Amino acid sequence: MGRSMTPPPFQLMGGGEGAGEGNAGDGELVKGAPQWGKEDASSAPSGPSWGNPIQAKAMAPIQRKNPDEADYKKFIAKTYTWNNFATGLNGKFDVVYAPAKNLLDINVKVRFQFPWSLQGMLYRAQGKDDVYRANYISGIERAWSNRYNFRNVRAPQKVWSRLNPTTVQVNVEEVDKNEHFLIDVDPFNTGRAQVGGGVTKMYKGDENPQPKFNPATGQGELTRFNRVNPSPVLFGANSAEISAGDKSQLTFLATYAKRINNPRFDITIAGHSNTVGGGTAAGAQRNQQLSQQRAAAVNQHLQNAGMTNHNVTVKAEGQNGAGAGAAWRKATITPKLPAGWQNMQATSEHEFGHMVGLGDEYGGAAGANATHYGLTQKAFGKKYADQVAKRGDTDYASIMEGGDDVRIQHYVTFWDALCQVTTSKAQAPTPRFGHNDWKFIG
Amino acid sequence: MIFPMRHTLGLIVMSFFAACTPAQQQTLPASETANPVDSLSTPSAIINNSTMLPESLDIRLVNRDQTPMRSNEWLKVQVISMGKLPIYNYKFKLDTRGQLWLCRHSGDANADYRQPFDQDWSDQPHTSWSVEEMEAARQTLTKANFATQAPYQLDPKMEGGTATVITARVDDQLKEVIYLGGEEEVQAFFRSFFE
Repeated sequence: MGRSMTPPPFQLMGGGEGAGEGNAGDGELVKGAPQWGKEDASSAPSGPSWGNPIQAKAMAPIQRKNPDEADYKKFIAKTYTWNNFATGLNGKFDVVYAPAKNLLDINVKVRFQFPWSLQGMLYRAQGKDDVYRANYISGIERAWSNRYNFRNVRAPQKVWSRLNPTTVQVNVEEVDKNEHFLIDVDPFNTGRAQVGGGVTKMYKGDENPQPKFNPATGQGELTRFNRVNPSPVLFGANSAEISAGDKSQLTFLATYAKRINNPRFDITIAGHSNTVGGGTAAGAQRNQQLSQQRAAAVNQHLQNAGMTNHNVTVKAEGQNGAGAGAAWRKATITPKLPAGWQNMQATSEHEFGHMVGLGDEYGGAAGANATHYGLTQKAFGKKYADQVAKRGDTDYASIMEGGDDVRIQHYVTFWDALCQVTTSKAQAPTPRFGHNDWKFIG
Repeated sequence: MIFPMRHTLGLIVMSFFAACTPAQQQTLPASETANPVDSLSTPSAIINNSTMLPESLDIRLVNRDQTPMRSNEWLKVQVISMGKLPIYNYKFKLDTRGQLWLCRHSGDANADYRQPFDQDWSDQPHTSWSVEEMEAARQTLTKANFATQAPYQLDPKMEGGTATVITARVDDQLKEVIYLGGEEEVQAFFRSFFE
């Protein structure tokens, strides 16, 4: 698909000589270089070969300046829509991506239904249904919007990074017909909320988050944290250098922990040394410093890897209580729940997770995958997916398990929607954006 | 010999009713009844349907009550939340005289949701069903083709909600069907008594 190298008629850019790269229009032609596209770049001659230099200057071939820039302009000129995007077991929503606004809208259309019994009519007459609707919509939009952003990583980033960050707005729109979901509310009886067949059944109390739900959740969070915690991190003699293997594990721990918004752990990083060389005051002081350096090195690595959202205390234990063995050349990482922390379960918001295509992260067969495991693996890799998208694992505070924390894996259907809408609905760039071009921030 | 399907179904349903003769349907006051554990004969095994259940059966259903029923017990219903809160779970069983034993979850919100029930059956029956109620139960099962129904009635798209496990005596054996999701009348009927 090479472009002609024959000198075309001379043209000026619309913006004049002073127009910068960002002002070039789609396919605008500029003077000064052959017009070969990316595919031809390797076959481009080293210099003009026609006529004398003066003529060559006057008749300089015309280039389509920066095709990526042209593609960018073309791409952001439109809004991309995919109605009734279906995902997971029950997920359905409209996707509207406006690149010029850096905004992905997820629109879920719902129709509410309340009982037609006498009690139900009284409920409506008192306006309680309106309160329910308003609280339902605002609660879900608050819980699910703007939690995570996406970034485009297509090269050249000088062009495409302008799409970043793409924020996500979740909108629940009440309609009279053509809804994605009927919200069938029984405000008078307790029951087990469910989503299936385009119907979400809600019962008495489901609209209110339940405090102190399942206290085992806290221990489950600690168990999961410690499952990926390489503590103790061991060091060489007289060294505060972290081994490559431990660095890798610490990076994964940081990645895991930084994606937990709730609970925010109190994490103690304690450095130690053994007693070797510590028989004198100066030696003991040296070991004290060494333990400090070890704890600091671990903390620094975790911070650099993004774990900045928990409360970390760094302690230097020196050779206190230590022996002479190599096992004391270490730093330990100990997470605790913050004082007074309690788990909260949010049923309406959990069921909404099903409405956008996510599955339960509890129950199921032991070791079974949640229905969003595949997308989680695609977005974050198998190791991370195994930690967060398996069913029947320990309790934890994820919104799709037993808590109220919308975690990064819960945006995978939105991410997939963004990838698919830009792949199939946009005419630019070439090649089209795919899943590899869109990443999560965080 | 080819047996017409309707005849086969008819025989199954007839044998299903054979376990409960009209005489047996006479109900007695609850106070005169004995503990079913004391009163009985050999427990009946559930029809082996494990090969017809999905391999990935939910842990709460794996832990359903599979205790063999006594020979004078003809129906057991388990209602199990597929959410994370087991406190509304309950089960009841009926003997052939209409005596009904009820067992609710303790209501301990901290209990492990993977175990649907955390209490033993009570010593005394909760209530007794009338002849009419027993008959209505039988008709509901018949109408649902319970005797020939596959043992796992799953709505594959249902998330959350409630599972209903019904075990009833069919042809002198116990037949069990797990309902998960769906709108079957049989579920609504048996759940209407305690919800």
